[in-house]
Amino acid sequence: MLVVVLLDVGGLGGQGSGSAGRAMAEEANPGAVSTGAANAEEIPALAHRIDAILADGALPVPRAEAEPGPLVHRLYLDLIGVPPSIDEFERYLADDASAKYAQLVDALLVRPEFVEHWAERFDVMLMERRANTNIPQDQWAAWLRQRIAERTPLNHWMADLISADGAPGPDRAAARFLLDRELDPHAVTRDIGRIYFGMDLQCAQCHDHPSIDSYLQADYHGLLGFVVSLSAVEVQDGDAKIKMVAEKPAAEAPFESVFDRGVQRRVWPHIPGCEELDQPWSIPGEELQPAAAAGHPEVPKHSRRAQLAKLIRDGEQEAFNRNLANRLWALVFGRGIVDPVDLMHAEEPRHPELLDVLAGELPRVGFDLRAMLRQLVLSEAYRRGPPPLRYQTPATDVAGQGEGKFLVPGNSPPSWLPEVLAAATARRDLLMAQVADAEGRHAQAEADFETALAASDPIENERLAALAAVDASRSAFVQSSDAAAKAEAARVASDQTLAAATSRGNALQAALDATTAALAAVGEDVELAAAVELLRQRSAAAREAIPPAQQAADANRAAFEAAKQKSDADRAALVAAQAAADQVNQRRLADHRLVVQHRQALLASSQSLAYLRAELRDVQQWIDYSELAGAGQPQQVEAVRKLETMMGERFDAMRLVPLSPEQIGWSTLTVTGQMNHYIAKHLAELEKESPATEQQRSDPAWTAERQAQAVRRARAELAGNIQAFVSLYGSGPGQPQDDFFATADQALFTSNGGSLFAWAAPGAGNVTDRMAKAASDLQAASNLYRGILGRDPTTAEIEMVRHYFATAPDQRPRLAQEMVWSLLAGAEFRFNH
Amino acid sequence: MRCHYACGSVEHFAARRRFLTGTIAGGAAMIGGLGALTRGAAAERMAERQKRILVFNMLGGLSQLESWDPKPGTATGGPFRAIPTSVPGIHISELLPQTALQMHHLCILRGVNTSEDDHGKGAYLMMTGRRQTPAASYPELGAVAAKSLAPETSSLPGHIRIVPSGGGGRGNDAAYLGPRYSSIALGNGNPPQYTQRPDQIDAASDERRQAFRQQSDAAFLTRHRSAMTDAFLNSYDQAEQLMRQRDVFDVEKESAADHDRYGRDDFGRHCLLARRLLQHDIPFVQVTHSNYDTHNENFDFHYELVPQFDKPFATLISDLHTLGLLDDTLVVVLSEFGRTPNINLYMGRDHWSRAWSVLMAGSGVARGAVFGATNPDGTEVLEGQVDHGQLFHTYLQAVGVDSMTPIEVDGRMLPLADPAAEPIWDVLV
Repeated sequence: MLVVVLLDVGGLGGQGSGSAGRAMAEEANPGAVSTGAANAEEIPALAHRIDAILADGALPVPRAEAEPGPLVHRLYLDLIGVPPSIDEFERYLADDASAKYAQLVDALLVRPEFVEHWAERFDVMLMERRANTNIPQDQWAAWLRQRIAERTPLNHWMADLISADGAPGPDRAAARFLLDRELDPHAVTRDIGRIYFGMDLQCAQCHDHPSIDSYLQADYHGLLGFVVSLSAVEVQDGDAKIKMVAEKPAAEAPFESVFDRGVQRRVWPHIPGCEELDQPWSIPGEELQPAAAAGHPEVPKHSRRAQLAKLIRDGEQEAFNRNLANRLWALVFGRGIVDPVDLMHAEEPRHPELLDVLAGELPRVGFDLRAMLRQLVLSEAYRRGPPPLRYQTPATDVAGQGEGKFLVPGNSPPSWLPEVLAAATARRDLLMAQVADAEGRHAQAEADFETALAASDPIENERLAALAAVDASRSAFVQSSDAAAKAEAARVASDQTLAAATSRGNALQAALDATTAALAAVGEDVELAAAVELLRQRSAAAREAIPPAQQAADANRAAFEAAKQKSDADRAALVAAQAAADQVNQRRLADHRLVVQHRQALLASSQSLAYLRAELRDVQQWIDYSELAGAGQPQQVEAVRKLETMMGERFDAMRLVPLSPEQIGWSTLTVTGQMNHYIAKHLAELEKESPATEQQRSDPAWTAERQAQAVRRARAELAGNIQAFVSLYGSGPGQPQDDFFATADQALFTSNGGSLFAWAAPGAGNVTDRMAKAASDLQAASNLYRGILGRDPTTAEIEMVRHYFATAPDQRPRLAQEMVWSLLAGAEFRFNH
Repeated sequence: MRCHYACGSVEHFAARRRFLTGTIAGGAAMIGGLGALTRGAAAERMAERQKRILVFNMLGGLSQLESWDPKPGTATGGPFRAIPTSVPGIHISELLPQTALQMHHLCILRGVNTSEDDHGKGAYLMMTGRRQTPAASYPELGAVAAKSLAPETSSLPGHIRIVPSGGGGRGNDAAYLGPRYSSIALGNGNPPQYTQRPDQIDAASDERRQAFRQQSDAAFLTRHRSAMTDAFLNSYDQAEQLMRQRDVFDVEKESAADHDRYGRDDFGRHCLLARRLLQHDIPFVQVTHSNYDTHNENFDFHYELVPQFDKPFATLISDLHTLGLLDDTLVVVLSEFGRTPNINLYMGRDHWSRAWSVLMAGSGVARGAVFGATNPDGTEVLEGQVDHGQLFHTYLQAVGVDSMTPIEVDGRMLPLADPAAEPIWDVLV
């Protein structure tokens, strides 16, 4: 059954759609699962469009469909993070429904492990294994799981990560993206650039990027503008202190290039490569509005990060959509259409049109993760096998004889080679003409851009002057309003002094009058007379104090009024300066738009030029190969390897994709039966906690929910084991997590760490157990290869198993355990393929 | 799009010019330089022999005044005298009598100014050549050395830290170079983790299961060979060789006489282990000595600690020379910063990064030399001021690594050292 299907390429000019492919394509038609595509009837399913784009202009090179075993293995790993069990694998093979692949896809998309796996993938993508300094991992993971389980549009919850304030409550976890980057504006800017827009602009912080023309310093500062005034503030939450995200009113900061000192530049916030966003003017002291809850930080009336979040939430941001599409593609295909995924720029995409189509699909399906993934895995491109250049029948081909079956000396060239070369030569001529054309257009676009840029210089300068004027009046106003506030305080104080002096005078006068009256009534009284005399003196003194206090109060009132007037005048001047700057801004807008348009046109033209050049390079590789006829075997094998790499990069063949650390861990626990053991244990515990009623038992939704609960508990219990894999196979915190590396300590852990071997021990119904109890070596071999690698053994492999058992016939369980270990430790398990 | 400068070429050109003139001028101007090699000869030898870096990290902040830059008889100088060394005219603290006899191999940089008085940040900038920023992390010297100096296929780990206890695991210090170049910590001479077959698997079973794995891999690779699978298979070969060479990490395999020469305390044994590792071509070894954070009783503590360092260090320098390894090994003695010239109320010295010293020796570095000087009180650098960025470039250049050219890591062009700094050409030979 393991036969490579070389697709019928001859008659279709490289459409790459053999009969098996067509059957798949039909079953993959839209409508099988409604994914929110309203006008699906008019537009072919995304899967078809992907294949059509990849086939457009493609050479008639051989493209193999993946064998069913590896395909199902791959699909399980990609959708739910673990391989199929023997039973699942066998059920799929035995199923003869024509739509069984699409049915399997739909079944996997609703598995509880789907939610767990994709929450994990997004966690790694967004946080890159940074430490949990503010938000505990379980809260963050639960928040992500809920987003995925509830099918929240991807752009909505990714926007939430930017606008989150971290207030106590169920959505506090969303603030992890900001809080666990310590809210450092540069760290946040860099990672929003990389993770949201696929552009690592770090180099552009201090100057335009030295090697990527389209990464400008202005773009870095445009992105920085959205987050520059964020900070973390401590607030009281019950007995604990927690950090929340605070936003101060934004202050404009000019910047300069380290290569161009002294030339100050300013930009409004904007998404890299896009138009700058108008910002409302504000008056110092009037920018904030009260916080949502007592004790929480105040928020600005105009929040810049909310502005960025809204752009993302609206779903029309091409830069965001393209990046998200590229990242989803990379998670499924193991390599981005642009790769590395955080270096999107004009020179990169091999298939710019494909990226456009994927990005355009996101809003059509409401940014639904499952809808996108479903179409990606239904495409023919996803269902391809390895490049079929070097082997004929791997079923009988073991231990290295296969290297270079087709395209190396001593073998007669395969029948399709002449046709590929003829097509390559024709396409090269066409491409060369197109490149020449595109170069001309590119030069024109460059000139147009430079012209537009130069033409915008005067208005840019005028704008800088206007902004400087706003800054000046702003600081004048800040100064005079401060002075007015001080003068007011002085006025209030002196009014109080005057009031006090007056009331003291009045009180003493009243006492004097009363005592005088009493003396008159009583007659001769020495003590009363003395009191009258004392009061008279005091009263006189108090009266004398009033006029100076009055004078001071009058002076301070006048001073305050003057200061107030000045401040009012400065405020009016500020408003006027802002209005004047607004006018300049309005006039600038047209020029600015033109510059951005020309920049985007230039980007597009360099993109198509780069695309054509890459196509030319690829085509040339086939032609170069044919010219190697007289060369030795090493050069030829090297050339074939290059062709294979190229086929992988063009998605003409499936590449090897290393499993993520989590995938290695969960897969190991799954195929050794550990996972099942723990799920069963938790099902039993759940049953003990709340026994199921008869009615619940017959309700599929209830059963599914209970299963999901048991899966979650089992995974929570086993999470510690996964950490061991993460620390060995994962990159450091804050580093890109998709780079492959292999180290001796991984191999040492595998060989000598003990746990891998222990998990491979025979246990109820696991692969080792089945092998030990198998009626024959053949059946044991079948259990081994189906259970661990999701495929049938080759005849040579059956022989290997037979031989292994023969070394110690009385120790079958032990030997089975060793063989299970061997496959877990091997390359085929380490890579998705 | 519009590039506002000449795409780096102007800067690079300028740097290269300085490189050329700097080398010539530097060679001539060095005081007391002994046995300087010409650059051409060095380049030739580089191609033949594995280079190594050995770092002594004096944790807490070694006092430059009680070591490399003594100021006897001044208000800030403290009680210790300066003694002459094997190089006429160069004096160091009397706490380093053995090291003084090796001065003809050493190069003291007395003009270090790193402007960072925090332990964590100081350690970071000295080990990475960069200031710490939340927006990016940079590989430590050991990771850069492991990547640049050892062949890809090397079976021994390339980045070793000898620590007083614990150890075994992989550090997080390689940043974008990838975990392959992260440090392995050897806790007091314990070999790396999992280098021994577990008891429940006997040799015969192990051989059997590994053979089955290899056979399976070979079959798989006929269809799926790539750079990734090569690296994956290579990791098992490395593991196997590492297990076979487990003794490399066992300092007890050294002779009793050598144990006596280095001293039987922890630091002595760590130095002997470092020698053993370097002899086995491990490209980066770091030994730590602590704790120099002497805010109280600075003189008592340095009186105790510095001589502890002095004898094993001097023995190691002398051995490396005798074994012919010093020409290919760069030795660096650094801290996170120095200590204040001012003596505080508790007879202590506090953190001081504005004028302190780093010692270099061996590969590519001038011998028997002092570069830079501080004022009489030791409060300011008078000449030859250098910072962490320049030092980092210098370490790499000294072992023949071009620190000025970015390298490609998984499709990204990344610098080995801070592109805004450049080497101290004057101390390189």
